[in-house]
Amino acid sequence: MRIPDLVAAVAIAGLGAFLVREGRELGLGEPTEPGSGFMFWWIGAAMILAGGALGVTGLLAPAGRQPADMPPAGGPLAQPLIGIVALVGYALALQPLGFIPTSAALLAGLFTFVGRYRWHVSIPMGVAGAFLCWFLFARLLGSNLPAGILVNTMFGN
Amino acid sequence: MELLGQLGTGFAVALSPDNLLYCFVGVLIGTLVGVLPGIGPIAAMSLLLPATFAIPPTGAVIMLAGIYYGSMYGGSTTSILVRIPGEAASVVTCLDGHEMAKQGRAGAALFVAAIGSFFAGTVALVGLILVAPLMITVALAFGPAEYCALMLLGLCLIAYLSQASVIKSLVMAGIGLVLGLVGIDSINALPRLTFDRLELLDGIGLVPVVMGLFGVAEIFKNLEQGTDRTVVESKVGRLWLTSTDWIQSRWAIVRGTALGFVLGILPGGGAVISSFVSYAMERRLSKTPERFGKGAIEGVAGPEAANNAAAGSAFIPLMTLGIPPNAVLALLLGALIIHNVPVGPTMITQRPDLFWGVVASMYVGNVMLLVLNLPLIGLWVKCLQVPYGILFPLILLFCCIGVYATSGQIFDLYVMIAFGIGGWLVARWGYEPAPLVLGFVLGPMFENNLRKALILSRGSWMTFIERPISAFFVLASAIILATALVPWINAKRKEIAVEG
Repeated sequence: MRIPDLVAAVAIAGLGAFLVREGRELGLGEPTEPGSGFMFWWIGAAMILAGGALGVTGLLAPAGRQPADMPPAGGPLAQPLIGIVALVGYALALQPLGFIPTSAALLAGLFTFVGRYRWHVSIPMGVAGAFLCWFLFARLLGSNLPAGILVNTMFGN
Repeated sequence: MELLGQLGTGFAVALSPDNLLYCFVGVLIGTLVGVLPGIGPIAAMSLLLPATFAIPPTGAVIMLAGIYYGSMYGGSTTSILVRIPGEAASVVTCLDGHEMAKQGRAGAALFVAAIGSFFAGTVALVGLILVAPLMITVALAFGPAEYCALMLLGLCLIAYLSQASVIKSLVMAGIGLVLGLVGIDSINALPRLTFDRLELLDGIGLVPVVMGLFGVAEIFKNLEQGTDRTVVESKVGRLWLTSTDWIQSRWAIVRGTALGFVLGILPGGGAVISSFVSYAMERRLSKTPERFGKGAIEGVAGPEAANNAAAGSAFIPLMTLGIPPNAVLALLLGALIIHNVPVGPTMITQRPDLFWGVVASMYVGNVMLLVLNLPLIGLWVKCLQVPYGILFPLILLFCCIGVYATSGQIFDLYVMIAFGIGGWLVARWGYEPAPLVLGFVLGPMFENNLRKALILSRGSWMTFIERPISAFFVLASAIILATALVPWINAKRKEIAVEG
């Protein structure tokens, strides 16, 4: 029995069941005129089957043996988790604070906590990186980046 | 003669100063992202997509296409010199390329990779010129049933040829199809899977999905391994081949080109798969297979030619049928749609300047790459010496900028983060993101054609069997799925996929 395959099988079959229900609620239509839920129903049904097949594979597989297509176990999770927290924080702060301060904070934080640079190196690099990106994308390439509430209040939109 | 005239028009478009600049920028950025690990052509194209809104569609497509085939060139340089494949299609080049570099033959490896790539790119372009008009004639005979069956074949092929198990890949393709259908139903105008979020009424954006799966998830995977990297600079040595090298590599280049061209056209095929298959084929055909992995020049020449030929021929289904054969070209299709360019068989008649201009620019781009790459090897190696602790925060920021600038919505940043986390987690369990992206892009087209086919046939599923072209695609899909279930064939499939 291979636990990861069994967990994946349950998740996939669950997703399939959700899609089947969603498909029925949206309406399957007639064979001559398929409805909005038609595709969801079929994909959901196929996923339940796939989940079942994966479950059987997991049940029949020798315990503890990793499947050939599974990559080797990764390293510590701390650094990816810091990356996730930093990105969520960035998304939350981007519009209120504006592009330059938020990006400078993101870069400086990641340089420090993941890249292991000292603060006095990270902060100037972060600020310089944010200004450089703003100049490249907003000025040269004309991308629309948020200025932030403070700048908008002081200088208007 | 008409073909030559059209090609002449294409070269006139491609050689205009503006388009030359876009092509140059595209191949330069492509080479750079090919060199740098953790940022591939998809992430780079997504990042530059918003910047292309301000330039004409022809220039935009020329630049984005340049990033794609430029990355194939760039990936080989770092694979050979420092054993870090900057791009997935160059993974196999590490095996013998880096061994050659350790033996002081980096120059020969780089030269054969460049010449093989150039030859393959040129042949693929000639193939594209010859095959595309024929494909368009065939495509005009396509109805909804044929399109639907072809897309089914594409999804089956990408599942079959991926390294993950077929079931896992099909599940990913199914999830992609579902995600592609989120939003207002184009036929009945009903909101589907929007969970009462206004942002989802127009569907999930392609850019946040691909940036999440291929940019952010890739960085999370790399961070698991830590940020400390050691870059060993090899001595490049002589850039010319010996007569033995020529003899050993010439047929490998020809075979790799032919193989890559065919695999590139097939939906679900592409540069990565063709390079692996080419390596496996060269090792099988060799009278001295024991040399492979120890610096066999055929192990560099064949895969490099194959991945570049595939990168060129992959444009055939995109530009003639409007069907992207892989995830990178799915993004290019998105760019064409954003720029209001008619995709599919009508492109060549409605926008001949764009069609032939892009085709001609690929040749110009190949010449640029040949001229640029060898002299700039030192520069690319220097780029690699930027510590990953500095590189990855910048790549994350670029991903955020690319996503936000495309739509101006913070919601899309959350979508990118969600797909980044999702992509990272499922990769740990052996699921690949490429089938999901292909399913995502094909989803709306697949549903539309399926429903149209059923309406036209008055609800008869037999329409897919009764029409010969559609029947062929359905039969091919069935054979592919059936063979995946035969243990011996499945074992061979995995052997080829994992080989190297």
